[in-house]
Amino acid sequence: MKVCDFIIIGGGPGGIAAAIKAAQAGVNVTLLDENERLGGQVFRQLEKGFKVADPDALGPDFKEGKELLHQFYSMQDKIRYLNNTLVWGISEDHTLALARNESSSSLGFKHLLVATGAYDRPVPFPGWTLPGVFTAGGAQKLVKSEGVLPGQNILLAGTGPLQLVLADQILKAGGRIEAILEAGNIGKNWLRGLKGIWGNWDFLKEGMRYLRSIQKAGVPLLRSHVILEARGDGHVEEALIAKVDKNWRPRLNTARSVKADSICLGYGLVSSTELAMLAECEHKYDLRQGGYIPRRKANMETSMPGIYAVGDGAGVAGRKVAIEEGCIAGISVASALGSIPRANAREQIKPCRKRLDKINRFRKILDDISLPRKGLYELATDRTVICRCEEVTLGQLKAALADDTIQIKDLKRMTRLGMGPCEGRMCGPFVVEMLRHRPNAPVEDVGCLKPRPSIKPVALGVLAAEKPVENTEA
Amino acid sequence: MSKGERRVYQGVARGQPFEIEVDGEKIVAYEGESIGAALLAAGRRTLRYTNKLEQPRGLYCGIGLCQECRMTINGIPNTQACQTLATPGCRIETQKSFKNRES
Amino acid sequence: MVPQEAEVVVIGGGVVGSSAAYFLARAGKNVVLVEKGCKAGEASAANAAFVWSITRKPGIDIRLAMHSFNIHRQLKAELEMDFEYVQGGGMMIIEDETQLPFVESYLQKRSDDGYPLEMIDAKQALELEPHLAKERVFGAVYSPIDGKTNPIFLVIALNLEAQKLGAQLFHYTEVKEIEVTGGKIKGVVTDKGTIKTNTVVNAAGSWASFIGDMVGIKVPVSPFQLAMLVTEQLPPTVSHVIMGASYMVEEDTGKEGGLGCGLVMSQQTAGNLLIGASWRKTGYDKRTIQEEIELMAKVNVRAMPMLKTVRIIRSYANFFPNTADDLPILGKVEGVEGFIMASGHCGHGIGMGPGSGKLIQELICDDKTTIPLDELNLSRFLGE
Repeated sequence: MKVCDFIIIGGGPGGIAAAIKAAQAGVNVTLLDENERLGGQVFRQLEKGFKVADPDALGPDFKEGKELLHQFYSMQDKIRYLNNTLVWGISEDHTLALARNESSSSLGFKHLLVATGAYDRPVPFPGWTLPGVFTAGGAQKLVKSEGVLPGQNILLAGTGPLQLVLADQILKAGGRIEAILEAGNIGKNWLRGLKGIWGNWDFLKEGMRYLRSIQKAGVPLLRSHVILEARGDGHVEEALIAKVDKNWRPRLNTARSVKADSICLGYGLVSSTELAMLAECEHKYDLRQGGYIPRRKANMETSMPGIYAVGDGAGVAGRKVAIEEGCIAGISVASALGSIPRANAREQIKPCRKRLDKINRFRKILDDISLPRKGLYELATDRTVICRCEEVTLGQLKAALADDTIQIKDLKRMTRLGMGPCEGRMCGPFVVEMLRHRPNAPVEDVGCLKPRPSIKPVALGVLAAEKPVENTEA
Repeated sequence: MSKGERRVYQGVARGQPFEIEVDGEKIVAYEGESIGAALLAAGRRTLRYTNKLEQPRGLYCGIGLCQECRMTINGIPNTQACQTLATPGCRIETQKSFKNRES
Repeated sequence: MVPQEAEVVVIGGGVVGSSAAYFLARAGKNVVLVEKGCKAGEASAANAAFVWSITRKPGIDIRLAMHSFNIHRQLKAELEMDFEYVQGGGMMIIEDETQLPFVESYLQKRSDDGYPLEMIDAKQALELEPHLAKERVFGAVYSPIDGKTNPIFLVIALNLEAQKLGAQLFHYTEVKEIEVTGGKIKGVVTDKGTIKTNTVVNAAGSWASFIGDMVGIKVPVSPFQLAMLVTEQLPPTVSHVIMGASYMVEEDTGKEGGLGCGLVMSQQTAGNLLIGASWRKTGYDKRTIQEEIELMAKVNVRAMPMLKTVRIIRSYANFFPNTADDLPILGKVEGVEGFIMASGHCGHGIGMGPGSGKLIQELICDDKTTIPLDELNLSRFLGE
């Protein structure tokens, strides 16, 4: 079996930045990505056949992504890039299980960087499973990369700036937005935010641009508002919305119905930590950063020697943070492999860390505004489906809880929560928070839905297929 | 934008259109579109009905994680519409509950 | 906090312990169950889900199994929660001709013992399970009373009913010591307090030897890892519980060697297929490895080619509590009054566990059991 010096899992900003820095330092890099094209979510490239007349319309992140990718592609002598490659398992002897080209194989590593990104936080509320309810990330992919609008009268609901980005893209694509609901009270905190913005003029410029375009289109931006319910006969037809208090609890006397044929939910992101957990890296729970995230040293190494983690997959912080962290990881691995002297590595890392600190100051303000408040976890009613795969309702979970279960694992055993093909991704984050805040018996450490191979569904035919011959592996 | 239209045309250049079949009906898709996107563009949002409660489900996460967009595509059940590119002549079926069916 | 005393303390919250706790509570005993882990136990939550008799050997093995079938049926009527027990029939597939002599000899022994099994030809087998690959079916041993259950729900159902009847169940509660004075059980010391009791049931499965150590006896039960795969939900595809004869033929050799694998397949009520199975010695390491996952995939795709496009959504593994003679250890223990063995079900725990629990209840309450337990006593291992 082949053993690589440095494998990177994930071709988003973090992974690409790390690959570039490591390759520049002379390391042989292998980057594995499960998609057809590089870029992850934020730097998602367009599919074949799909062209956009004005790439600038796709946003500054697209342009930034293009530049980074250009650098990446120019280093193909040092970077071996395997697309359409799913890493479905990892073992303690530093071996990855891959599914690629309809067969399963193994690849060893000396150093590993997990840069697997994040996904939209699932927030259950009545009607959230209706066709026509999308995540902001899913809606963004549809509009940006496939040129299809989620609907003709779109309601956005969530918190934080990512929603504004989506709104801007929808408007540029000619779509109609009924309203944008922002759960947080950005009015009051905006001035506080300005303090953290010193030196982060890029962010400010970006943010103002989105706000301006929304204002210009006459789209109402309703602060301190959430969606209570999605309604319709078999698909979204209208939404019940309401004003909320500082804990995001609805003031029911403000509840009103708005017409919408699609709803895009952007309540922040949750880190994809399946591989890091499977690799038995220590994790800590931090809701502000997206839930369970791996513990890391300053050089991005996790508690497992030789395994590093960067980007949204190690704590939701956005693409700029992912890039700086990726650089630090790439340089650190190069140093660990002896490709560059340690002093050199320290020098290279210094400016990355400086930029990181600057970015983090601004991010903290935004995170404070967008940290999910208690009310968000109280929207679901007993009839609301929490585990979408196994169709387990909140009522069923509460009945099981009456038996004094204290870990999410017990709920899983009793109700089948988390036993579906999404492998706990859509229900886990909500249920962990719910258990942590049980009124009579809150538990700090409720465990998690433990990932097991394969961390994403893989066809039996792929697992059973003849293995590729060593030297034909790209 | 004309009524019923979800595809963005302004400033977008697509490849050739072709026909795909969904539940026996022919609809248009373009190169580069996922089946989920093509169906959405045709106004079809319900992609399957759940096994236990027979609830309608459609695209949700859009990036292959939630598994809600499972359809029977070219005879193969449980295929994710958001992860599968539309190809000329592909046959798509809204997946019904498995409860009372023979395989 | 655990209660200060109990009539019976059951150690182990899997199917055997839970069944014992249920029947004891039903018989009016003040019973406390302690389990070091989460609900539904270890092996009881990670097995093939078979309730079957085809590979139960002549003698006490098949008698125990048949008795346990009755208990399963009884529980289906008595427990409020549905644990999805279905007697849809079981098949042991003869996958190639070399297996025939072994199987025929086995069938003869079963017949001699008064528990005959029916052999069906390939045509009949394929009629019963049309998705099986024709070239891998030479015939099958068929048993209409065999079937499957949802093992996790079985344990949960037993627990819920036991609680209704007054039993107290404590999870995440580890037994640290067992107090024995003058050859008699006095109490159980857990990490959440001490329970005064004179009767302890050792239903700790693969951990039974640790409990035995606490009272100074050697319990020869050792962990043997078994792994399986779970597919996504499918329409009704497999209606029987299916085992390949290779499982029976190779299981013995697999124990000594490295990675073994034999065809095991069934469909749960929810629609998922539980397929497998692979085995190896791993100590107490529950992690599934790439090699065994791929091997199980190969074996199952070969047996049922339509599985090629079916996706697995996870793998799982746990341990058979293995004994040298493949039989459980049930009954009292010489020298430690009040210490009752109920472990070592060798991977037949879901099938035989409920029956074992009932027998333990009879032993404790009436000192008399429906099936004599002498053959299953721990003393049979003395001097080894």
